[in-house]
Amino acid sequence: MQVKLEKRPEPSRLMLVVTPIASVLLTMAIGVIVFDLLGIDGFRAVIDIFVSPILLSYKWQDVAVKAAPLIIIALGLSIGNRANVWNIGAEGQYIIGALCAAGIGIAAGTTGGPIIILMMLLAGMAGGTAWASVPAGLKTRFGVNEILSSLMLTYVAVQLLSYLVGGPWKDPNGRNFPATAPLQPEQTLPILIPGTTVHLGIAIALVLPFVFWLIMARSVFGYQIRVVGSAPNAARHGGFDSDQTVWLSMLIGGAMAGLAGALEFAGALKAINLGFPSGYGFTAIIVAFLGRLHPIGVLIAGIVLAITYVGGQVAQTTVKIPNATAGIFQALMLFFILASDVLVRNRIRFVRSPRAGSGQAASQTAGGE
Amino acid sequence: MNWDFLILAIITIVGISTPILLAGLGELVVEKSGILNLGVEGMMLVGAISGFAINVYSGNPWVGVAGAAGAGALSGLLFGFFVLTLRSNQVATGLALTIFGTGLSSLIGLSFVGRIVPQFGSVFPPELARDPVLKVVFGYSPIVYFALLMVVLVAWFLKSTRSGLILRAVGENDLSAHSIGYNVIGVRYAAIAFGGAMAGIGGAYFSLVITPMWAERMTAGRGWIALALVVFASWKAPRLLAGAYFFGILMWLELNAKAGGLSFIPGAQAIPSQFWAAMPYVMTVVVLTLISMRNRAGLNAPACLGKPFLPAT
Amino acid sequence: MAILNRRTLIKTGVAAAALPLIGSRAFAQEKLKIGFVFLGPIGDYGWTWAHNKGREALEAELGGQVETVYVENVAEDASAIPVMRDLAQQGCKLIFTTSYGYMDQTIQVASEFPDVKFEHCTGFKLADNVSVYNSRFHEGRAVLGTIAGMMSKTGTLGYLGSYKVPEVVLGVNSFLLAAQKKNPDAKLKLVFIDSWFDPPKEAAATETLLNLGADIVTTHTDSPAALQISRAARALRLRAGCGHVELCSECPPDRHRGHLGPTLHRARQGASGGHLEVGEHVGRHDRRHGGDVAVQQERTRRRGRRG
Repeated sequence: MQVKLEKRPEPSRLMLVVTPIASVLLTMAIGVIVFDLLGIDGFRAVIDIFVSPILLSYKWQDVAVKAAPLIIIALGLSIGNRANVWNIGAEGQYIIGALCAAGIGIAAGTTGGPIIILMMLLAGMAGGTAWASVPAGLKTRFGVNEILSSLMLTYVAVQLLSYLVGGPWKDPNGRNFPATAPLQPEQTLPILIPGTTVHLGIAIALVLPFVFWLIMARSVFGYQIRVVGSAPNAARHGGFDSDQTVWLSMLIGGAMAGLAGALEFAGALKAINLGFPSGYGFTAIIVAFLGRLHPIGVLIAGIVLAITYVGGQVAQTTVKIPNATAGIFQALMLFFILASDVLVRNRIRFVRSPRAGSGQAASQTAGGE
Repeated sequence: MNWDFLILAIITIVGISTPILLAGLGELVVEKSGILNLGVEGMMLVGAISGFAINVYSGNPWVGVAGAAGAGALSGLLFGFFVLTLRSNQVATGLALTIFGTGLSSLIGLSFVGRIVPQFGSVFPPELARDPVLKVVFGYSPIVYFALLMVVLVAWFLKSTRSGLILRAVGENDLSAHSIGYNVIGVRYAAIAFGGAMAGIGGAYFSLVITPMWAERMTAGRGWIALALVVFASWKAPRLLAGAYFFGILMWLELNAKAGGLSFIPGAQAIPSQFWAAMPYVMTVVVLTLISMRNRAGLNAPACLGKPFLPAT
Repeated sequence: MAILNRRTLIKTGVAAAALPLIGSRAFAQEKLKIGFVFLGPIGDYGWTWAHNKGREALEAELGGQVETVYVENVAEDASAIPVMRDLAQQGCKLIFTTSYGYMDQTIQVASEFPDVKFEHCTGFKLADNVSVYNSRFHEGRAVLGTIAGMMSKTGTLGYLGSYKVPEVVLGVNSFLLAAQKKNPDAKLKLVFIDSWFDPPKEAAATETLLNLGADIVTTHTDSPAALQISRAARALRLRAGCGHVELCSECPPDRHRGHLGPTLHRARQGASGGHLEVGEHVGRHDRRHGGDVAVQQERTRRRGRRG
């Protein structure tokens, strides 16, 4: 007997939907086993991490606040990833977006209102776009690998943030702690549900996936992205300019990350300190993959990841597991979803092998065309 | 400034450069084979805690380093299994490896905080290692000499051996290498395991040499600097050595500027420290751009870097 | 990327000295549930690690009368609010928010839960159910400075700082002023590494300080890197207020360690059903025992009398 992978002519639609769910379930199952081995009530821990944030209604707002930036960034990234453009510097674009919004807030002084807020959001998008335009320009002009350049620029952004909040933008009343002054109440995003932390950014995060869905499914641009990603040669024949695709997908990714940064700043945090780069830009890459690069999938995946964050904190107090385990869970989920890609692209066949012990890895025999 | 000052400065710079040199050498070989492993930080942390834990139990730092190499290689192979056998996306898998390694090392490390480990002795006679002048040559941890030796070996391997040629061929054009009968997947597995082992040793340098202790996330982002370093060195081992020391000098300059040690340079203290800290990354982007502009063969990134290997048959 | 760790400097102390134990009233009571909001991971070997040691000591000493829970890696921003709220909703009646950056969040959540007492570390804002606590680190620093001023041969002292924030500047000033009382020509080489925790950078910075002529180095960062380097360099070493009890068994007693006494004491008051006085609590250092245990004096000042 030999396990044989046969390439599917079309990626399996069923598997596309089933595998992310299976990945989450498998992660939960492994969690139960591992925790039991560690001497912790595994079932309780997994329930607390993955289910309690759904059951406890007062946790919903926390999940929503965490999910919003992840969803918005991942939407932008999924466009690029579909076109085989790898912007992994979303974290940097997110930081710059927040900084640009903060710049507007500081410049506005005590004035607030919708116009200032709108300007902050636009500035955030512009900042993220500008930061992403560097790798885009280097890629199209000089062929610079965008994975490496966008990653490097993230760390430049971190240092820029550190300089600004510790220097020129430091809160004059902040006792020298490196942080910006908190926004004026009139400069922060409106709260949609009184008494909660649900701000305007969460509504934006809920609406944007559907906008992206429409664009990807219905517009020429969406078609272009899909074709360039899946069949670059055909795209060239079809007259789609690959440079243009790089530009568009990078800039959209940057704009979304910048928007997320501005929303997080103006909606949730209201001040920027050195802890602002919290890794949303990197986690959003997991979200994009878990959501299968599909806008609605990204919406769901963002909520799932946010649940693990919130649930991870719940489980720390209930079953006393270390915070590090939440990271392990997120990594496992991503590992499984990546591994399951093989099922999406291939069909598993069990065949009787005439020559036993060929010793080749399954992938060596993969592909049937 | 006098000789003593210079000697101590060199010792400091060599010390802070060695872990990124080690991890960078490993990643260099990985990238030369056409694979981009963004999990360096995670592998370094796994190496740091494994080396420390094994040292605690064995009481022998050499065994600790060997264990760190083994653990690093294992975490590398985990990455390899996903990207090579299951052909998952390299970028996402590498990030997952970093998240996984950070979490795993923290979890294992919980019971090792505050433990004391035996430390390396000098490989040279103490009169050489402690001599006020000669210590600039003989006064380092054995891992430092190991790193230097590995630079030579990796440079020689890539340039002058048949296996090195195959590795580069696989990285430049995996499909052709495959079609003339080379085992692309096997070569890449080996490269990734080597990269993991080197990252593991680099991580162990933190927990066994610089500060013989374990603290969560103690590598403090050096894995990402190692990634930058490989690009900065334009995928050449000798340049990697120079680049590692150059990055070390940048950090030394920053610290000295702030402590008033560079008063002979006017205005040195006025430069914000973030400028120095951002420098390695800025310069890496500049170097990356320059080599991409010139685009001469052999100077640029390996052609298959980060791309999946999809043979037709 | 994520926020890293935190300053050393504080070891939440265990007051083993026989302060009056819990009264008989405790029998009839339910367990007091105490929540801790931690900035770093408990394995950071520094600030959070030390606070967690205090929490463990609390459980060990008060056993059945308290139950403690903690949340690690809580960022110093608005995301700390749901964490505190969650602890309160879980039934914690006493919550320690262990870093300066939780100040406004603590005030906000405290206003939502008037029956829960909050203890905020190193801040300055008070409310009816919010107290602040801190340790008189500068006193210990002054002792160190005095020793340094007397012992230094080169007259150059090294100080490894983290950020240029009040609690660090306070220590730097008192160290240098005290040193200059003994040696008016004493000079300070000061490096801020712009991080609470970065062992390799701390190590390099210490070597740099030694190289610049310092023969005594003291530190306000998180790891024992500075200590280990200065040992290796065979320089006289002084380490101020670090939180590494385990390492002390190896290190000579030329180190000074800070303790945050009020933490435990306040919890004890709460556990015994006693009245929790709101105000400002300042713990003092005491090196008398030189080991893991130190006795704190504590002063509780009424609100409004802070200096």
